[in-house]
Amino acid sequence: MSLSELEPGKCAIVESILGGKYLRQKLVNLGMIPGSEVRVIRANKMGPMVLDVQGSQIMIGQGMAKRINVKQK
Amino acid sequence: MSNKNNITLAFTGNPNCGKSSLFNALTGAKQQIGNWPGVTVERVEGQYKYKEQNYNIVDLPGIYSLSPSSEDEKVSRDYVLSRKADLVVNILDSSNLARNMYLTAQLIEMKVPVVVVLNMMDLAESNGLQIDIEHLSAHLKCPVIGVSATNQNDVPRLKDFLDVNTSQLPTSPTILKYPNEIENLVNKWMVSLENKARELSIDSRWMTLRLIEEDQWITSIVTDAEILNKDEITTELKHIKQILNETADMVIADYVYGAVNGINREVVKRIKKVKPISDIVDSVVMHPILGVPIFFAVMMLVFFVTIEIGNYFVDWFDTLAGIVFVDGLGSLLTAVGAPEIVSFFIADGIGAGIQMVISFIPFVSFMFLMLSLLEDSGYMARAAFVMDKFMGLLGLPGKAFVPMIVGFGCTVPAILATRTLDNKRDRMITIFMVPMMSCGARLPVYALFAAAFFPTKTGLIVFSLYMVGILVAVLSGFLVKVTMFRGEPSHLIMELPRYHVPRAKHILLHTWARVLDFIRRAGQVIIIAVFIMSIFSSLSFGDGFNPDNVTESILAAAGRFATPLFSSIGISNDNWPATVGLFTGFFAKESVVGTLNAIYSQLGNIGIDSASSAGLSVLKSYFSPAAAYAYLLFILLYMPCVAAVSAAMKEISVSFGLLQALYLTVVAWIVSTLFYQLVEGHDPIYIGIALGLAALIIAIFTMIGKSLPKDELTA
Repeated sequence: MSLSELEPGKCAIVESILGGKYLRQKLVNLGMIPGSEVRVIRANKMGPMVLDVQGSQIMIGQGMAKRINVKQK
Repeated sequence: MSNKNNITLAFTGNPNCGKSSLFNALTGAKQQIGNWPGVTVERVEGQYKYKEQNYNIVDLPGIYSLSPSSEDEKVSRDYVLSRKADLVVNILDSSNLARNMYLTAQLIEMKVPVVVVLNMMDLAESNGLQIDIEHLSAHLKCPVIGVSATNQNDVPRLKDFLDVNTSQLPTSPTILKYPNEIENLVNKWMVSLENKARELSIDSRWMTLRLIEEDQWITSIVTDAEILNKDEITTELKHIKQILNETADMVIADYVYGAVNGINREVVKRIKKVKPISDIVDSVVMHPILGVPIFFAVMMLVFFVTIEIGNYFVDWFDTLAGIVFVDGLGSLLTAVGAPEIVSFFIADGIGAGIQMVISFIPFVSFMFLMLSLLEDSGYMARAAFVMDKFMGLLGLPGKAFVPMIVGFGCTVPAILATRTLDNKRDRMITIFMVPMMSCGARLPVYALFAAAFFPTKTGLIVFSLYMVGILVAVLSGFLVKVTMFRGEPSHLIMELPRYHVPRAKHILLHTWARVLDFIRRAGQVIIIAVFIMSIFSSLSFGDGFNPDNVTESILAAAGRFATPLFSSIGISNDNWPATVGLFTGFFAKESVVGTLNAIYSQLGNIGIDSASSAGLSVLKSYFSPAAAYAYLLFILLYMPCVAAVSAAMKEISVSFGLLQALYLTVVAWIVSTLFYQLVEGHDPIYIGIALGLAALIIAIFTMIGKSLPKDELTA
């Protein structure tokens, strides 16, 4: 499933990232690499998602969240 | 290296790791703020003295990694590689060690002398974390110290730690291991890269790994020097991708994270779980419904302080600068016997230019102050969150809303406010839209005309102008998005910083540096433009230099000459002062009123003093109501004042500033012509020309868009 479908409070493991080098680089910088765990803190269809990634809060737009495949835990 | 008189330390670390607080604690007020050459990245340097030794700290921009995908990262990496710093001081946020250590691992791989400072130990502790510093130091094979900027004793401890390590300059012997396929390739390529690496004085293993990651800079070095050819590199990397089922750069990132996560598990213990206070604040501020009114309240505050309080000081600055640089300078020159023409051009030309620059200082200062407050407190990221969906329709990040709001006050600080946006494409689109947010200087013109022509509907008329401005701005933003600045819209992904109390000294120092930068950059252009305009308004073809006879000046002649261009918006040939008003509006939009006043009264009519009803009737004899509204539409949309144009030129490029001014003027003509012709003129030829021009703009923008390199914009 894509990250954008994940509901608040749920945890998931990042499986793959569909996107160019620039986009992937930004995700890598913030610790979102395949195999890393994310937890959804805030999400609604009106705006970006807020995730907990390795203890820091990451804000990510819906468009980008759609391009990240995750496996719900 | 303790015999050296000056030791240079490079501070590097993730954004929000408390790096600048630590920097401030060490250097005090002894710091210089400027820009790195060629980019808009801020360069901060500071000094301190310890045990008879001078230390110079270069505070590099906050970054997450050294893979140069942003200007900040590129500047940092180039600086570390240049070896201009004796020691790299890597500052880590203790409460988020794993992610922060990713950068540490990259620094260690560069084989430059590095020490690690664990900052915000107090915060980590209150978050329920316990860190074994000695153990961490053993793992990284690099000196580590733990500090909290709030603890006074930690500053001398840190100074001592840096003193010890600058005499040893430790380079960590740690080597990160990658899967065999990558290691084999490293072994294969490293030998041939050895010489080049030595020549550039960079580590050869590091260089080889970056080649495998397809780093642009390293790849071009290797292929330009014909060490390896492009095909050879691509074939090998394709091969790796086939075996590992993932691109090499991701595999490397994965292994680096694997290594740092392993260390993190061993040295960090979570004693208890704490819910941070910022989570509670965020549940209100980032609430899908509550967040919006909070955002607008904050924006109102920014607007109020920048414009209203700024305005209060503008009069002071303007009057004082006028007394000194225009009247004072003029009297002085007359007193020393300078000819009138010389004293006029120096005082009313250059002096008036300086006066104009000075009068912008309050707006610009308050705007930078408010922006720093928004950024430093952590609210800016939340504002980006709240407005993301809405601004996303224009392909802009939520943060782009802030300059738009500031634009209703003054276009100049609004253009400068786009610096908070991350990429050049976003900045260009935003700057393109900002002048259409009707600035405060245009209001007196609207008020005067509305009172004369629509006395019962003044408010509605002024409001409609603001709305037209917003509408045209949104349409223009959309137009440039689909024509000129195509390509991937910037995706929002950023760390939400923790809230903290804004640091007064930090903010004031930075505001001051940015204001100085504005004066230096935009000041020259403004002074030159004001000087040129003063020549045109005081010289006439007939009787040479005569500053009191505006009606005969070159400016007036140009106005008469250009007036037929405006017959489409209802300005008749005998109403040429209206055209001259547009010319002087280029100085400052509010001066349109003064110009009309001066010329109409010189032409023998009574001046249009807004207070007297007799004055208002003068306007009525020159404009029909529809022509008056069309004229206001033109004033709303045509090129912004010289200060705004020069700001756009300095922020993006000269050609961008000119293109924008030209675009706005043509759009102003199109909109006001369409309005006047539909309401009163009913001339199909003008309507046709207006629509044709609109089509021409779209065609030209599409052409420019095709010629622009795509990757340059998003970087």
